[in-house]
Amino acid sequence: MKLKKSGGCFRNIRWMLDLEEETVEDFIEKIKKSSLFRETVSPLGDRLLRFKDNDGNEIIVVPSTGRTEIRLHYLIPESERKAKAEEILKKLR
Amino acid sequence: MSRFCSGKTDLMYLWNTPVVYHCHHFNLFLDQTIEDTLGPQKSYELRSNVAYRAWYQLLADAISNSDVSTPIEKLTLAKTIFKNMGHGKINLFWETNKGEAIGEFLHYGYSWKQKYGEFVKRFHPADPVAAGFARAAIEVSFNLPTFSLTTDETQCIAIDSEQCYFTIDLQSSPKDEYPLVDREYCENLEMLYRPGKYEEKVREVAKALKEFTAGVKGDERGLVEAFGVYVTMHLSNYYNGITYETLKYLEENKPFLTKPFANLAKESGHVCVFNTFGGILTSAEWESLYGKPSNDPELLISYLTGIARALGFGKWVIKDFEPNKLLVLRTYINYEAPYYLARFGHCKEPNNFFVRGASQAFMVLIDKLDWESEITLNDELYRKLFKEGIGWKVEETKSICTGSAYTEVVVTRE
Amino acid sequence: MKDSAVSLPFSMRRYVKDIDGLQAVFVLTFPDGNLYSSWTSPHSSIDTESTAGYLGDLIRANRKVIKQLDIPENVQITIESQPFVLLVKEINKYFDIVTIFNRSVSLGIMRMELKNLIEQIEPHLKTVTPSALNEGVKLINFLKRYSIDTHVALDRLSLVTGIDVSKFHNPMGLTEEEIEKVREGVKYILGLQKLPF
Repeated sequence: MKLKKSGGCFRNIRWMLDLEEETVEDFIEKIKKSSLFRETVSPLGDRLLRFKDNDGNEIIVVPSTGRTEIRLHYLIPESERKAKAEEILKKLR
Repeated sequence: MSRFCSGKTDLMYLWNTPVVYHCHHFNLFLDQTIEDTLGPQKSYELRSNVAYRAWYQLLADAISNSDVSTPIEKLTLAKTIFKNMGHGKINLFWETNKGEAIGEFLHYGYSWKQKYGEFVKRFHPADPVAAGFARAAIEVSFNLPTFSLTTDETQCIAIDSEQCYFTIDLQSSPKDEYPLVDREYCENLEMLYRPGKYEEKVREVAKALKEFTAGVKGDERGLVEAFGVYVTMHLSNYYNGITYETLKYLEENKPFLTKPFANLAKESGHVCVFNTFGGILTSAEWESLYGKPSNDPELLISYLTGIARALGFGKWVIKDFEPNKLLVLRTYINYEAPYYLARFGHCKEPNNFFVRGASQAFMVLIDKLDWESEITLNDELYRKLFKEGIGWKVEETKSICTGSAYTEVVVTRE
Repeated sequence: MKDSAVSLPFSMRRYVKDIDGLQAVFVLTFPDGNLYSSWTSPHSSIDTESTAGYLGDLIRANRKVIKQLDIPENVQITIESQPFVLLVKEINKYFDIVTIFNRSVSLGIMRMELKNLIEQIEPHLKTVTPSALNEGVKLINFLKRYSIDTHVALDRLSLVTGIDVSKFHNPMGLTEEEIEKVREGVKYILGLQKLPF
């Protein structure tokens, strides 16, 4: 599993997660069982899954394509975002 | 909040007030264009006065459609609307004949700092929209006469203050009482609609995206951060007021400047659509609905047109499309024209600038980006792609404002 | 053959036509770092305008370093990379030259060609001082180099100054009063309190 920067105007707030060998189904199962993240309501139902940690950081999963993103809480200072994304990655491994 | 999306016109309203979704790129660029034309002070006056009238219309509308009764309840409702529309957080204080407003994360000042703060130093405040809101909210909530307040933005985060701060004084302000358009006016305009190409797909996309955006509102900061941009639900009467009042001023005083003005008003549409529509198409949300976009130009143009309708831009239709060569886009109604018609009647020269820039961006998005690769949409990419020019030219061949049944733009390669 | 932009005083083309492996030549003013003349090979992918902009910064920094280190003036700086080699040399007090060669050309040949080129160009430049360069040209070039939205920078300048945009395509024709407005306009657009020239 590794991180890639995502685009947009908000610097380093979104990060793509490359699951590498892990399947998206396994990843979803893992995160649902995790005590660190809880599933939240998604306006797109099970087409787009959302998980949040206690700090408001989100994991977004599109089950049909395997796209997985970390969306950091907007109040995290820009200088701390990369480190935060890496910290979340570590927790997800 | 009571959002109404018209199936007839694909325009959008909050209660009876016309609104439209626009991103910070559009908001900042258009405001900058007005500033460039009139200078910082005069443009601030115009923008805050136009904003005041547009906000007053909305807030009076909202209050009359709710069961709030005390000034504090009305003020709270007003602030909630402001926040939910993605304009930021604002605290308002009023006592007898004096007041103040403190803004946090105000959309204009905050997003200006994010987009330009690293490159350009700013010397004048950026939040006339919030200033106009403060006046309108206090007047409506405390039943003060209209045009009885003035505001002054004495601190702004875009000019390195800690917060945005406004004084509010009981002092008459200039009365501009020309009519603003509302839902009844817009929906009753004669509309000669003929479906265009890929109509089924366009409608499908518009419907899906309208459903998705129904729940979108400002976060704790009062900002809507989505698709890589800051989105606002904003007042069409504001956009049109500042654009067309400035255009009128130039036509009467400096006609040789109408061409660069039109070019920049068009560019605000171009930068908006490139970033917002591009952001939508590259988003996880889009991918969950339609999968990752391919380079199929016909699919892309139908997506883009559907998105335009979903955001409240009006009844946009693809009249003709030849991939990499030609786009003929018609708008049987758009959010620009009703204002102009109500205010000035018909004009000699076409002037739906947003439609021009947007349609250019459609061809650019299809032509210049490889949708099957990883696309990183940001300001750096924008500057790199357009340093030497856009590569596509656009002509508004027909315009509702000149009396045609529709606005038509033709986009071809330069 | 791609020659330099509108309004530049002399054509480099005749001086470079027989030089093998030469990709581009830039003659820049000091201390402004403005482009005075240039030539780019039609086979090259070098973007004249943006490269010139950054070379202006390079030659200014270069001269500062030379001064700081107390190195005798009129040294030649060589920057080697793939696929190019840049040679930077002062022509006189007011002008620097930058040549960009393919790396395949031997360093000795590059130095010789540069020396010959300077000998041909220098007599022309002897009669020119930067103050003679049109202020309008300098201001427009500066704006284009540093503005965020380059493709609409002149439209913005037109609105800010109240000057017809067509006049900026021939900035040497601007009056003194217009040049002053342009100066203020450039400062306003770039958010600067003063310009470095």
